[in-house]
Amino acid sequence: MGRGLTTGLVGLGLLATGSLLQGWLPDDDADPGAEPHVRSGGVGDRIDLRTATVTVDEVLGTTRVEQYGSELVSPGLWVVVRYTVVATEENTPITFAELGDADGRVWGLVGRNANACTESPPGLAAHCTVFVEVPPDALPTLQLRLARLSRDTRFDAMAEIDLGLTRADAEAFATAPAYAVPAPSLGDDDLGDDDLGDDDLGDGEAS
Amino acid sequence: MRWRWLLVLPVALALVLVATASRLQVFWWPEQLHDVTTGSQGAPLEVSDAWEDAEGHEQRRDLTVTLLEVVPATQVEGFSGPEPLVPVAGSAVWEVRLRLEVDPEVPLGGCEVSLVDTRGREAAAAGMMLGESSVPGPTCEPEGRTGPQYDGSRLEGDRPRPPTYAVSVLVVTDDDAVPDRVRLWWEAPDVAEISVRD
Amino acid sequence: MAIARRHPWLTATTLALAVALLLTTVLGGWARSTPDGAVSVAPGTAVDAMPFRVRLDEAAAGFTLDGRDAEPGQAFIVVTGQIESMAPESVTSTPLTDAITADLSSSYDQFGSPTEVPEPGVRVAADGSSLLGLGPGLLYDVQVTFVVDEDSVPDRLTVTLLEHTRRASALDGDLGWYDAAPVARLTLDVAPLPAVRPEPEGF
Repeated sequence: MGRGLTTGLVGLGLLATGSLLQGWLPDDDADPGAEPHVRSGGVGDRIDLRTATVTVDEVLGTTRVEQYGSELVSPGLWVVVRYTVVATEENTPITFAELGDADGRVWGLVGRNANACTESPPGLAAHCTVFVEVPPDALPTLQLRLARLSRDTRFDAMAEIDLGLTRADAEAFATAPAYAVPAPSLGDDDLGDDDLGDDDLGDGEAS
Repeated sequence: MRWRWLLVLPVALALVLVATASRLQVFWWPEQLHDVTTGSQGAPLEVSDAWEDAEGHEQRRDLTVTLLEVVPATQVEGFSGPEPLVPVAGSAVWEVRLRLEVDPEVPLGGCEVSLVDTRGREAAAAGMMLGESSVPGPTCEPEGRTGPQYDGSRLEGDRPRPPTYAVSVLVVTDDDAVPDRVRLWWEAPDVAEISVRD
Repeated sequence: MAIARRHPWLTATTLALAVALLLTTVLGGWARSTPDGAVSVAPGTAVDAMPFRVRLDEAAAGFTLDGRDAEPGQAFIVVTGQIESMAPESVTSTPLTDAITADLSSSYDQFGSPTEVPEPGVRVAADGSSLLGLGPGLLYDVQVTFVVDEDSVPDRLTVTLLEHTRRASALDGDLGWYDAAPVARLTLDVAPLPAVRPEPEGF
């Protein structure tokens, strides 16, 4: 009776351990080798994405953005991030962008959110703008993730940038004026006011 | 005798490595341009390039390409004709002139061109805005004179393509780039690589 | 417990009934339901149609929408309300379009083709932009729009809200929102078309 019980208990113990291990190990669908390689940084840091570097230049916010002559009004806040991409080896587009907060919420390039960017030839800076609408309570832990391919971020490097926003920023953004999203541009030229909107001189001519 | 089982370990490890390397074979290698035909500027280069038609049959296109010159571009096609290229700080635009000799019935749509510089950086020909200029993407057929599309149809209003002609492809680089090689391809893995004469 | 032992069948039945009641309460109560499982709600009720929370208030028929005229012979039906996504990540337009339908004959999709199952357009009321997907934590005042034949504008509109299930796609394993199933139904009076169709602009 004693031996049987012991054997049974050991057997159960092994089964339990086995199923615990099974749950802990990655299954068929998980592919740890294919997870994007995340490189973290802050505003102003140049982050290496294997074939290019990305640098967040400026973070702004407002309730209204203008693009292609239309105004987009958010029930939350538009977070607008200006960034620079400089390819090192080969032309690099940045087509993946998303914002995430500490609660695991993610706002992607879906709906009215957009990434106005252009591919960067090696050594030639591309100046880009991504704008995403989020609820104000997301700002204090908001991070921007950028990567090269939007179709598939596996095997790729991804930049994760702490945007450094606070609740005070949320309040300021709520009363900020409308922001005209600039067209993406290449080169070292100063950016000026070449925005994606109609002429605002009111004389009927496009700028 | 039991320790002999330890010898299985390195074999097992090697097998694991090979098995995971299959991912390289399935995903990465076929996308790389590794079937290279090399040539040099001024010398006609015979290129034979495999492609797959809509039914999955393999076809070949045979052509002779000559790299005529790689020079700084001075103008770009605007809305109403050629416009001078206004320089943008930090950038350079190159005109890659190619002569192609190929049967007018061979489809040549979707060609890709890149300029590799002396540092090994590769700038691809691609449509993009550079300052106020709209730089077009690469094309290997003369304007208004195209061969068949891949599904056999033709562009409305186009005249037949001549058997020999020259095309210009514009490539945007930074202002440090010194052109070293021109690459021309349609699909991986075949690529023609032609060195630029000093 | 002596009673229980003496009347086993009675005890068993009572227990079964108790469990059934408990389960029904936990699972949503004795709400009035339609054959497909959807619950009838009054206009102005916020409904959880996962991943969305939808509240629809009023419906009106019209010939123009945000300065845009309906095609000749056609008209818009516009339902005003609010939509919010309860999903932790952004949701694309497909689950949004599939979450709302109505009992309209002769309806057209966004490209102008006739469609069997009426497809809504969803616009942000504040600026008229199309809402082709939405992220978490944002409550939008919306116009849910349908395009119909002018002659088929109804007096009352029954809107069905559908919920989706979050699961992996059978094709590529990516997580998404699938398997739309009716979850609620509401009926709205439709404010009628204006008597005269306005002249098209620019003529």
